[in-house]
Amino acid sequence: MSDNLNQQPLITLKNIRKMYYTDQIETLALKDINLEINKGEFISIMGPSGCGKSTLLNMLGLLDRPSTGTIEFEGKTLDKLSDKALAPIRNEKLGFVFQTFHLIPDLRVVDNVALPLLYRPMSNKERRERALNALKIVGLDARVNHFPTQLSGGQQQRVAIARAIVGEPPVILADEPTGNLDSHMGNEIMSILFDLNENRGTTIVMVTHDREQADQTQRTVRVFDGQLVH
Amino acid sequence: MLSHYFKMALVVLWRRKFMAFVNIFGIVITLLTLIVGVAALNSGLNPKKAARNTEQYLVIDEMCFTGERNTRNGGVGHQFYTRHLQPMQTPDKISFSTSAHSAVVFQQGQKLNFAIRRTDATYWEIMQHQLLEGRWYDQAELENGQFVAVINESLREQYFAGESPLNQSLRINGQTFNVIGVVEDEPETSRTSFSDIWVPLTTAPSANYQKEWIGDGQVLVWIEDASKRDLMARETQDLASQFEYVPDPTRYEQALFLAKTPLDNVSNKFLGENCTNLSHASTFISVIAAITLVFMLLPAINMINLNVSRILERAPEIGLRKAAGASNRLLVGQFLVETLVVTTIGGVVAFVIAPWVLAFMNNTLIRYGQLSMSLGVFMAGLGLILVFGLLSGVYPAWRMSKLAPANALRGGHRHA
Repeated sequence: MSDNLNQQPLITLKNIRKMYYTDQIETLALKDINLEINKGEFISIMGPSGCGKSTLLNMLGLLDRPSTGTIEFEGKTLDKLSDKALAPIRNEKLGFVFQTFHLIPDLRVVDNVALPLLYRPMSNKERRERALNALKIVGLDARVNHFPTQLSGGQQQRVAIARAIVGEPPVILADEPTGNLDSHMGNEIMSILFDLNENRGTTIVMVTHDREQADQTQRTVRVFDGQLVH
Repeated sequence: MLSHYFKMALVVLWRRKFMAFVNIFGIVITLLTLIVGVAALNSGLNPKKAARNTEQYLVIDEMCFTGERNTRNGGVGHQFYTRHLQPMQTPDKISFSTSAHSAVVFQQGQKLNFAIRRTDATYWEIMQHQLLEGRWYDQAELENGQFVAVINESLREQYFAGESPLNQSLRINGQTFNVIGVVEDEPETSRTSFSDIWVPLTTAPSANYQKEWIGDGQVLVWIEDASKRDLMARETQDLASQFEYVPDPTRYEQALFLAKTPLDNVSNKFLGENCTNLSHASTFISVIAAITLVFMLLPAINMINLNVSRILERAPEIGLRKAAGASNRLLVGQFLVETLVVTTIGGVVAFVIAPWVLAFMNNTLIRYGQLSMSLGVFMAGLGLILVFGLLSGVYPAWRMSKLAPANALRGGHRHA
């Protein structure tokens, strides 16, 4: 962890505020967030439900835009970029793991995993080979032709992780990846994430409710009422 | 990428069979109805076979007498024809014939029903029947009231079992006729020429028809030069103004009739305008256009409804694809391909089924039917459905693709 202190931040959030507007109510989801994520870190984000953890993760993953403030990725300011310009950054630099897996039910496991590669110029054969390799890493190479509904929750989340790593992005953002799993399956998922971080150098930012899991990460960021607390 | 889109489109159809069925069924029914409707309309506007020379002839088959207190309408009566229509100067040829009546023919104790039309000799000069064997009757045979008959090929097959019927006798409604000719079958939709049997007008069981002012007759007016049609219209107006109902001049003061083109005929009949000397073709065209629009709108609304719910349901997939690096253009492309695939499947199914449906109608609903598919109408219908499909399928996808991925992943409920 001490090595990270000397590195240039991979992702920097500066004075991030996020407001949501409904018909009559204005909700401040994030208030003046300043956060740096270094390359190779495994960070957990903790906080009570509704405090803004997922919103913060969405900002880091360029899945949402801040109302005010700046997002930098590898030193470049991104928040003013068009959707078209953000698409390749999401594709090449970021991988996502969601609490509810978000697998496409109409596609087989291997096609779900290959999804990010679809938006890269490569042959179908190469896509398939890389997807099969990613499935091997998460231990699901025997389930390539199954549909998501034919898998257990833990297996579905492993497919989601395979999808997140298939494009070999430097950063994986995981939103409560074990939230829908029992402790045994949760541990399996955590060990895959730790392996990716330790052996592949993947930067991981994980939202979690689980203090035990958070304690295993290199740094924990706490959010309360849309603000970082120390 | 394109192969993935096609694969995705087929997978979505296969995995959501009911929705796919409803969608494709709607497209097929719309196209089939359009094809059948246009085929029926086309058969009225562009008759085939004997009645095909629509540029040269006009038909007067409805007329109306009006007086201060009385109105009477029906087909042309023979007396009105001989007094007011036959003397016209403009037509190059003019013919009187009855409409097709029921004719009973017995064969080995079995009752067969056919249609019979009584005509003058000029009828054969205006209606271009295809003679298969023999000849048709001439003016002399008409004037002498000779019991000769021309029959169609179906009657020849049924009654004479394929043998030549020439010079053989045929007993129709108690009268015996000598068969002198055989013509091709005429479709029932050709009101001016359809029949199974044609016999001289003068063989009618009674001469009462000669006294009729309004009857069941039709008058065919042949004008070689189409530019003389205006002259014809003026002459018919003059005739109408000189109209005198001889049996009781105080009863009817005015005769209304129109020498109609096929379009006038279909228009006035469709609009129920049988007591007029005006063409209602323009109103008819507007009404048909409105009906077509409404008819096309119903499946379009159904398609829009299905597509919007389909895309809303797939909002998380759109969010996920955006998170995985899909651009808005690629997402819209995906739904474009899906819509194209559904429309193409519906179009192909309709294209395959349509000839069967038309053949069924030709063989069972319309005697000697000649309904045929118009490729132009099929393509126009397919094009319209494609436009509705694209608007209803791609527009919501485009709107959804504009959402921030985080919102789309939540189901698209909150805008960024």
